[in-house]
Amino acid sequence: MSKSEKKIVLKSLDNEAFEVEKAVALQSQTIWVMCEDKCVGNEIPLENVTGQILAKVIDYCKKHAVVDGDGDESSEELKNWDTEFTKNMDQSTLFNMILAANYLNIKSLLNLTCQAVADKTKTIDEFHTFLNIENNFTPEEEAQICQENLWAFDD
Amino acid sequence: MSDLPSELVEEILSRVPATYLKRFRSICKRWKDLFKDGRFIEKNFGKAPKQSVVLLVMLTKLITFSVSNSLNVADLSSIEFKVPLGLKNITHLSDSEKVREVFHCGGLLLCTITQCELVVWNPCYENNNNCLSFKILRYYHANNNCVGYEIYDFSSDSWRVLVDVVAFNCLISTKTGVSLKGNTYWLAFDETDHYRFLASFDFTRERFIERLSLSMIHQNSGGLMALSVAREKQLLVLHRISSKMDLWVTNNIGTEAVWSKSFTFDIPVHHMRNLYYIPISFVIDEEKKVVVCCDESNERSSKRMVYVIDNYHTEFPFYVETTQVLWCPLVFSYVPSLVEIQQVRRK
Repeated sequence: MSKSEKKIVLKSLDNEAFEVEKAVALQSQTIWVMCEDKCVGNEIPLENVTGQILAKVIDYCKKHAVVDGDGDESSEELKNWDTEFTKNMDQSTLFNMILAANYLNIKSLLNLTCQAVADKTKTIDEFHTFLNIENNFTPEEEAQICQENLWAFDD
Repeated sequence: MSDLPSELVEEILSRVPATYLKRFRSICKRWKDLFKDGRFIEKNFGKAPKQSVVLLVMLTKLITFSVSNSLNVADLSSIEFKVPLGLKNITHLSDSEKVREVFHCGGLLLCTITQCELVVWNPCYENNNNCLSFKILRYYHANNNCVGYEIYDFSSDSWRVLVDVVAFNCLISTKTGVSLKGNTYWLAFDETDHYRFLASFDFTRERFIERLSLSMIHQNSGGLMALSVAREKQLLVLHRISSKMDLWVTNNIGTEAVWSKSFTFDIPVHHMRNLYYIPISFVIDEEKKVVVCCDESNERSSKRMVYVIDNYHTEFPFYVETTQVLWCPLVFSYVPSLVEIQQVRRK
């Protein structure tokens, strides 16, 4: 395989181009299928992901392409890296990362980002904001549920 | 922010511990229904971080506390065993009734009450009105051997005899049962060949599976043992022989279980004079390096002990005795879940 065949260009929604190793990009099942089908050339347009998010996704894939398959020590290191990776992401970035991981079909990244939201979001208000959920209970129903919610381990 | 597709919302919610989800039921109807969905409940129990609560059972009280080196029962918040539902349709335990044993599995508590009544309860719920496929095994002893086995199904509200289960020629220590990944384990003793092992029962296939070796313990050495589970994936055995207490751990649960020793605790001589150290139940906090241990009731003494072994990997483990308690307490680490129990209606 020549050097150029090992590389692939990913193009974001806002036309930002990223040249990456094929092994890095193929962690995305979506890209893998696209390459298998040979329906795209060396440049893959990703219409649902912005450049800002794609850059982060590529960072993640690069890290995981290098370390995967090594011993226990590196899997520990990888876990720490993952924690750091999502630690300082704001809600809107996390939201878009989840959508990107889902669209690109990268299971481990979807796991990681969903868990990060689950860990960071602990109050009802935070969930309301994050998931844009509308309360469709009547006040009576809501009171009824609050009553049921009383349980042994509340703080 | 725009909407996430419902399958992604579900992905996120399945990773939130049950104690939080409980409060989220009032957000919208779709979530309330989702949290009752058996498939989601199972997914949640598998994926959400295991936030265990340490529970101490005394008389009709269920006490929660955080493991620390200053265990003070007087300070603990306590919950009464109220509204237990299931096999017995009672609303409150009377004064004469006491909780004798507690087993837990998938967020449910199975309690045996004085007069041999059984109660199944999820402390997360005041009202239980749904169902998942849980089973209860009971067995009969005759001449120190298990001779008969029966399974209870919530769906049929009845006991059925397991006919093809081979009776074990052994003694099963009933108070030591722990559940892990769908199986239940007990400390057992083979009467014929005089050796100790772990008996395990597979609730899916409804039969006993292979005996787990306790090869790390010299079979002739005697001693007292207690069994526990950590992080829903490790089995732990606390073994006390003369003035030493060993903690053994296995990650690999099967016939070829490999046990590694976590620590040995030398019981100070002056403690041995007054206290008995007959461990019946214990919990471990690996981060804080603390073990909380409850002793079995002892006829020679009115003292029931709860004690803490702190900093167990250091040379001088710290030890605390708590206030004397009246009834033999049990301690275990409990993982809350969304599982609801179908209320059985007795005619």
